Amino acid sequence: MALPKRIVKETERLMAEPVPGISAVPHEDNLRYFDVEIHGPSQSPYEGGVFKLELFLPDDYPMTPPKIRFLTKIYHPNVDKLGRICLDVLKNNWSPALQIRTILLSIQALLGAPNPDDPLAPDVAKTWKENPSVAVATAREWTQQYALPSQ
Amino acid sequence: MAVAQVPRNFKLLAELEKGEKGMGAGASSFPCWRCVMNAGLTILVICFIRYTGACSYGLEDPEDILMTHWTGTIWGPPHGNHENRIYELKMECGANYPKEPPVIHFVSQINLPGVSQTDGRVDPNYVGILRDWTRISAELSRNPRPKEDPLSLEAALIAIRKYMEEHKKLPQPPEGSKYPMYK
Repeated sequence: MALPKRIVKETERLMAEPVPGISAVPHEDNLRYFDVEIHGPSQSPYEGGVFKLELFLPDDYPMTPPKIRFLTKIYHPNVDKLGRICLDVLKNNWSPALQIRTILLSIQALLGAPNPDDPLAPDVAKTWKENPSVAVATAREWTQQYALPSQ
Repeated sequence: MAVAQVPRNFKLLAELEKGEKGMGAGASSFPCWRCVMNAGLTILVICFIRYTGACSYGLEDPEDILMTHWTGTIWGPPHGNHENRIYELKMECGANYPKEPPVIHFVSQINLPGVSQTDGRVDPNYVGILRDWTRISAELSRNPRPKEDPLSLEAALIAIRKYMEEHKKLPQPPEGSKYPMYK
């Protein structure tokens, strides 16, 4: 099964010029399915954590956005308990001009700037708005507990 | 044109979202005109079943990131001993799902050939879709049909319900009884 040229190009570029703090490696038996790692941005409660995600390019990519979710548990108002992400560019604001690279950068930015006004995890968002210091401490704790890079 | 092979986790996420929308169907056997003719009350029941779906399913633990353990519900098919009963099931999707079928157990006790009387396990050889699952899945990976998904937890539940319908005259244990390990 031939892989569309667009996907081949994107994959090559991801490998040749990786984005700092982000890696995406396709599965050998399914080149549309990527293992992703995103480093928590510095100055954020996720700093020091390495978060695993999985990404899949559906049939009609790039007409439809990639599917992506966190595999590492994370305390964040825009990520639900199954790792699903609420991010405009993954939904209505997707454009075929965007790429795997830009999506992963947006997710990394989302870690640096949680948006509790558009929550996917209502309980987390509530704490984030009412008691931000507690929320940030919990996010830091979860990062230590679930996202420390393996040796 | 190459067709993408949807990885296990993204297939299960899609199944979950479909189940959450309450699209669990099996409504193909409806409308049942005999019932509609019979009584107004039955019409209400049918509307209820059509609304809720004859089968439903969801994650056992909403935080199960690997989406391995599922629960299922089958509304007993009409005109027999399953009528008006609700059957509870457990389904397990292993790492090789959907290449390999889910392992399915009845939690509610049921008298049905191919269902273990000790733990409710459904013998795949008795239900067409489970028996042929691996073969169909291999065939689909060679000739994908992107517009349909013949192999899913919902499809398995609907097939089991249909199989129950074929054995609707069998005497059944008391309503609401469960296999010992689920008590």
